[in-house]
Parts: sequence; C-alpha cells; structure tokens
Amino acid sequence: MPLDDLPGRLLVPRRDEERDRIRRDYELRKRTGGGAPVDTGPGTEVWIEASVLADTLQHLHADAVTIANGVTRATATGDALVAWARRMGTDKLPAIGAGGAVIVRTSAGGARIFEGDELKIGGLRYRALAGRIYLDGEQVPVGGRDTGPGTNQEPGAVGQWSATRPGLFPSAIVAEQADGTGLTGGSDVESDEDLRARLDDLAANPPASGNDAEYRALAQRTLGLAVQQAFTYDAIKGPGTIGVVFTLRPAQPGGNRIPSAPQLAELAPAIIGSMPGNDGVLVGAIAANPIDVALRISWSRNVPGWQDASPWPTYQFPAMTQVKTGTTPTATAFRLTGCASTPPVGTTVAFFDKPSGVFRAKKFLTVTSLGFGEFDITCDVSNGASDTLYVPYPTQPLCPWSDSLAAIATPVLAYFDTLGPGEQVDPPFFDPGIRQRRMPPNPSEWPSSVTNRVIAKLFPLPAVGDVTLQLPSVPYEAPTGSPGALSYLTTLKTLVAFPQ
Amino acid sequence: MPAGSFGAGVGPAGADPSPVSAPTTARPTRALRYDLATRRFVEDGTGAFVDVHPVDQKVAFLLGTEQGSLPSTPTLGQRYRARVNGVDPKQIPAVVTDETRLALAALLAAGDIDLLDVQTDARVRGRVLIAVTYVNLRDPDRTRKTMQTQA
Repeated sequence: MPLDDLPGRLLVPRRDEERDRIRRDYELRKRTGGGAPVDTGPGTEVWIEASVLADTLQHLHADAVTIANGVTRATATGDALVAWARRMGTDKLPAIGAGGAVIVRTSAGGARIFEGDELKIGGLRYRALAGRIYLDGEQVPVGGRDTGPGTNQEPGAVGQWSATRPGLFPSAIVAEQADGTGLTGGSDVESDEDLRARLDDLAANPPASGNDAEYRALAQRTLGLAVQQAFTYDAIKGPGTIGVVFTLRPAQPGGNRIPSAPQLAELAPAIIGSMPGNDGVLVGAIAANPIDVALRISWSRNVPGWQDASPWPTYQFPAMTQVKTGTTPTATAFRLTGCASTPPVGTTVAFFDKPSGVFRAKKFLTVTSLGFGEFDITCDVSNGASDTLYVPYPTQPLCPWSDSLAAIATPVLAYFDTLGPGEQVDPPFFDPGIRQRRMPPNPSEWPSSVTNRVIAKLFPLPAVGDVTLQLPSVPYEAPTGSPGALSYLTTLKTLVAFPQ
Repeated sequence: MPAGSFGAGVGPAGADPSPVSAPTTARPTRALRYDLATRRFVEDGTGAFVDVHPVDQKVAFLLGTEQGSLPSTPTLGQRYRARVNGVDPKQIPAVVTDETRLALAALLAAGDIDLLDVQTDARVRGRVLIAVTYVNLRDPDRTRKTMQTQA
C-alpha cells in the first residue's frame, strides 16, 4: 500500500509552490465568476501579495517541520532531541578537554604536584589528574580544563605550570602515547547524530542491574572523557568478568578515536566504583589497525577530471607504486618503487595527507631511473605546482592528481569513524547469546568490518560519476584482539584513487 | 409585523417578501489604482476602489517601488535613488531615462506600453522629481498617461 511507504517526514510546500498555489486560487476564483483569464505574473498585485504571503507562511511551515521531527527521536534535532534524552534519563554530553600525560622535570628528590594544579600550553589550561610526588622524567596525567578540539596537543608541545611547587621545573613536555599521539580526546559538545545513536543504543539495550548495557552507559557518562561509544565483552575471561573498551569522539572526520593510557586509567575507577564489587572489570586498550583504501573513479562530466591526459600511475595489485621503504623522503624529493612504467616528467600525482584530511599535489620536475622499477623524483615547486609541506612516509602509495579528489576524502574518513572495535576472541562463541561477543552487536551496530559501505557515501557526490572499491578486499574484518586486554580498530592509513 | 402580503390561498401564510431591488451596476475591478504620491490604493467618493487597466497598475508598481524594498520580490521596481546618487546633475536625465527603460523593460519587450517621455527635475538638492509619460498599448483608448515619482 502507498501508506506503508511514506517518506517519514512532514512534507511542506516550498516558497515558490506556496506562491503559485495562491495565484492559482485567485485565477480559479476569477474565472468561476465568469471573468476573462487574469494576469497573475511577475509584477502584478497578485504576484506581489502571493510572494509576501508565501514568505510569511514559511515560518509556520518551518515550525511544523520542527515539531513533526520531534515526534520521533529518529528525526528530532536540537532542543527536541535533548528533551528526548532527558526523558530517557540522560543528557547531551558537554564539550570535553583533551587528556594525556606530560613529562615533568624536577630536582633530585622529586616534587609534589597536587591534583588540580594548572598547566598552560599556548594559553589553553589543563589540570593534573593525580596528586603525588613525581620524580624527574615521570609522566603526570593531565586533562583539559578548557574544552574543545583545540585542546588536543602534539607530542613535544611545551607547557608551563601556573603554580610554583618546590623542586618542580616550570615547564613540562607533552608525552607521546603508544599510538603516537599527545593530548587527545578534546571534543565539542556531543553532536545530534552522536546523541541519537546513543539514545538508540539505550533503547535497544536498556541498562539495569549491572548488565553489560549499564557498563556501557556508565562509561559513556564518565566525566572528563569524550566517549564516542563504549563496547563490552561479557564473560570475556569467564563468569563474572566483563571487558570494556571505548572510542573517543573524533575532533574532525578521521580524527583520533583511540584513548590513551591516562584516559584508560581515568575510566577504570569511574566504572569499578559504581558496579557490583565482585564483578571483574577489565578495561582494555584499543590498537589501530590501519589499512589502505584504493578506489577506481569516473568523475562526472561537469567537474575537473584527471589532471594529466595520461594519468600516472595506474592501479596495480597487489603492490601499488609507492615511496620506497628505507628511504628518507622530503616534501619535494622522494624515491618511488613498484613503477610499472617510467613516470613522465610533468606528471602531477597525489599523496593523501591523512592528518589534514586532504590530498597534496606533487608535480614531477626530474625523474631519474635507478632500474628495477625505481625512480628518484624531484618536484616542481615553481608557481605552486607542488605542495611543499607534506612529507610522504615510506611505503605510502600515490595516485594521479585530480582537483576533484578533494570531494572524496571527508566521506571516506567519516565512514571509518562509524567503525567499532573487533572481537577479542576468535569464533566460534559459546552460544548464540552475548557471552564473549562484543556488544553493541557486531556488525548490526558499529561494525568492525570494512564493507562496500565505504563507497556508499561517494555515489551521491556530484563530482563522482561512478566508483568501485579495489582495496581492501571486502568484507575486511578487524583482527581478533586479546581477551580482556586489547581490541583492534580498523582505521584509514591512506586513500588513493585511480581512473576507472 | 403584518399578517403577510398575500391574499389567503395565494402564497404561504405569513410570507412577507421584500420588494426586489434594482440590479447592481457595480462590477469587479480589473486592477486597483495605485497612487505613487500617497503609496495607497485610491478610493472614490463612495469608498470603492478605483479601477485601472492591469498594465497601468504594473507601471505604477514598477516606478513606485524601489528595487529591494520588498524582500519577497527583490527584483521588482526601480533603482533611481541608487543610480542618481553622486551623479553629475547634467547626467541625471540620461541616467533616469535609462533606469526607467530598465525598470519597464519587461512591459516594453512584451509590447504592453510605449515609453514616450521621461522628464526630471533636480533643482532641489537631494531630490529628483521624475515624470514618465507612456501609452498603454493594451488599453483600447490609447491615451497618454503620466506617472510621477521621485528619487
């Protein structure tokens, strides 16, 4: 029946439709009265009044749509969604400051740092999370007093302690975490999309009486942590145990989602102190499982296509043309390996700059053959022909340049933000229930495997005529982690696109 | 109240029909006359709106409305004030004539009117009086009409 397939949203007339309806009504009434056809076109009194009235009615239509969207949380936004959250016993999560650790310098006997001591990095404020005597070179866990993605800091950033403590040097350096990040997890206020997903999870898996859903709910409410989603592994090390891991809200599409050691340490007491004492809670780490994504694309006819008439390199499987390992590339000179043909001088290629989420162009100025498919390349930096800042990493693959590449980066990065960590034990599981499985259930929620969905968001792009996924071979499942200790999260390492 | 106008057995008992009034001579207006001086629709002595040809009403709207002043129809009207601002007084007649042609371009192109004359008076500093004379080619009487406005 047609009624079974309604669009699920309130349809209201657009401004022009409303104006034309008023004009049509006027014309019909005039004709019904026996008059000749009347002119209601642009410039007539009817046109002007209908235009003004249509504008006035748009406010009512907008209100109607807002109210209609609030009827279900699937379409609610803004205050209506917050009202939904409060009815379900939660709230929109506030902005969070980044967390991590800093390395302190002290005199021989160490220095006492108090919990809450303030550290400033570039004007942004952080606070010490644990007070005790720290020795020279020890790491002090810190969290952002200021909030937002701007509080994220690279390793090596230098901060200054605001308070003077005996034996403590005034400066401290941001420590590098195991995943190469510094202070991470700074996040804006929870977005409507994130809140809606969390409410759906709450509704599907009601937290109660120390069940796995309650663990996840507690983890997601931990103050000071921008938890994107918590995951549990029931009975992961036997009855009475539960594994908990969580991802962070990324500061931007493709941003870091993996919690650092101090952030893991922050979560454990918040959960353990609130749950049954005889539960064995195992807060596990998440390790990145970076993969390359290779696409073949046909650009739409009305957007810039491939820069060169004969795009170079072509797609090769299994080894793509890439920066040679063991070399030290710079932004404008690097050695390529795996070249099926000689790179033409003047060719423009693209490297994906993942931290910035954009492609970088490099135009070849000189090409020197070293044999065996290897070439030394220098780039043409005149007139901005090549990017001079991004340094490709050894083994990084490259692809032909197109100005339209800019369109595909964000959707692919955003797709990887929807992935969840993989399982911690290999199948088969004990039973069809939830024991040792990751919850929320995989793959219906937060799938851990990469599938063709990675290109689903590319098809609607105006720039993309057609696209196929070459790498990875799908479905690509995240590796199995370690029970109670580690889960793997598949992340994007680099992105390349070739002509179809 | 009388017992009725009909004799017994002629009409329904008690019926008292009022006499039939004379047929009305009023007819609906084709379009309302818009007065550029008062910015109102003109009424006659009986309170009825004065009828004009729809093309004349369009001319009045176009010359009496400053473009952009009606956000719902941002392209309707003229830009006299914007264009004569800061212009050498000697150039004002040419600028006003050009802007009049632009404002009325759709009507001129459709053969609805013929523009006969554009007069300007810029003797008072900061004000330009404009008189546009045209003939409505859709109106059978083809009389010359003049609209007065100012920038």
